[in-house]
Amino acid sequence: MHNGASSEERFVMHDERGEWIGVDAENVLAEVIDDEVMILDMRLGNYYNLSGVAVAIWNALRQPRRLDDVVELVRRRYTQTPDDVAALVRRFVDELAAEQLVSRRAEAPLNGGTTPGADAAPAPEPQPFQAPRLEKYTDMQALLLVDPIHDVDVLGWPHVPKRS
Amino acid sequence: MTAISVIIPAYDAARFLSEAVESVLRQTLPAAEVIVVDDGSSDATAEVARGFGETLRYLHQTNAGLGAARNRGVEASVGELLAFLDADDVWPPESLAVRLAALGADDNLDAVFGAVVQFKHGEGDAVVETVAEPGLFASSMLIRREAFRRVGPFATHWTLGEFLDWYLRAVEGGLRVAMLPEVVLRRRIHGANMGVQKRHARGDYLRILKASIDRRRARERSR
Repeated sequence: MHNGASSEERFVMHDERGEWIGVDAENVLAEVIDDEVMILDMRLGNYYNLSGVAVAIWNALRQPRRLDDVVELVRRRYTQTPDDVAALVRRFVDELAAEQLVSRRAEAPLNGGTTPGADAAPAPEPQPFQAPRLEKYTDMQALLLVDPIHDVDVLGWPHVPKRS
Repeated sequence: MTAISVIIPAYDAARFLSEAVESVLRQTLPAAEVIVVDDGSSDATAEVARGFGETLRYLHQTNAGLGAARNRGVEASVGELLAFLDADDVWPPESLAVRLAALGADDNLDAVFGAVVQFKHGEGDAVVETVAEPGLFASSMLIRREAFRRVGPFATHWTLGEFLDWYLRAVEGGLRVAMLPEVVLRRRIHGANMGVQKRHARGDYLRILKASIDRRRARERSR
């Protein structure tokens, strides 16, 4: 499960620093539009909007990371971060996970994941921190679910998910 | 009786157009007019449409997309009610009758939709189909002309999702709709090429949804 020579070390790191978290690219469409992130969950037909700090966290999670690293990234990128920034980030990530927009894995990703400071993009001008929020919309489920934008090959369309 | 105009946008639809038109002509409640808008097809769509003679009106336009073709049909139509049918889809015989009955029974309704069964040709003669599901498609809608005018025409700049865009605008504008349990549309799903063709255009969905959120926010701010 753990790749490379540092597997033992990784195992210890996992114990100490928690799971890897990453965007569920298989079931979720997402794109940055006008500095905000739009997300469409193709399984349920829900869509979501992120802005501000939430965008930075989402973009970070496009490569699997550990929560500590995400918190660190937020601390570096934003000013006026409150004492409970870690809890706020954790709560937001929990919310993303509850909506199944991100998934958690105990083991490191095959490519080793991303560590702090590994971002290729230049750091933007620091902005004041605001608690990240997930805006959820369920009003187009009926239309988005029944319209087969899904891959025919993957899901064997016609495939209308059963609803409870 | 209230006059219904049926608008059939058709692009390279020679293979299935006959089936679509025949399903309109077989309605237990006849349409007042059937308009086929040929969106610059390069196949035999024109011949197939003209084969129906005086039973339908054939209009031709330079290829401008599904939304533009539907809009052209609306402009050319005269009925008090509008119904759309994509050229590869089929209506069951009672489709217009059940929708008109529901719309006629409630003056507060602007439009009605019904259930859809989606089908796909498998190996040989096999046809795979979904269970009936609420169908929010242009092809399952019957709408009062005045209500359509209030929402406005279909957008013409999206590769995919022109109906999602239209329906979002309709909902934002307070369009009053009903969803009937009866199956009013059989929607054809085309083989494995569809996901491939559409994959590049999926971002349209996100941009359409974002535009809707922006409009709703602007409306909130102006209150």
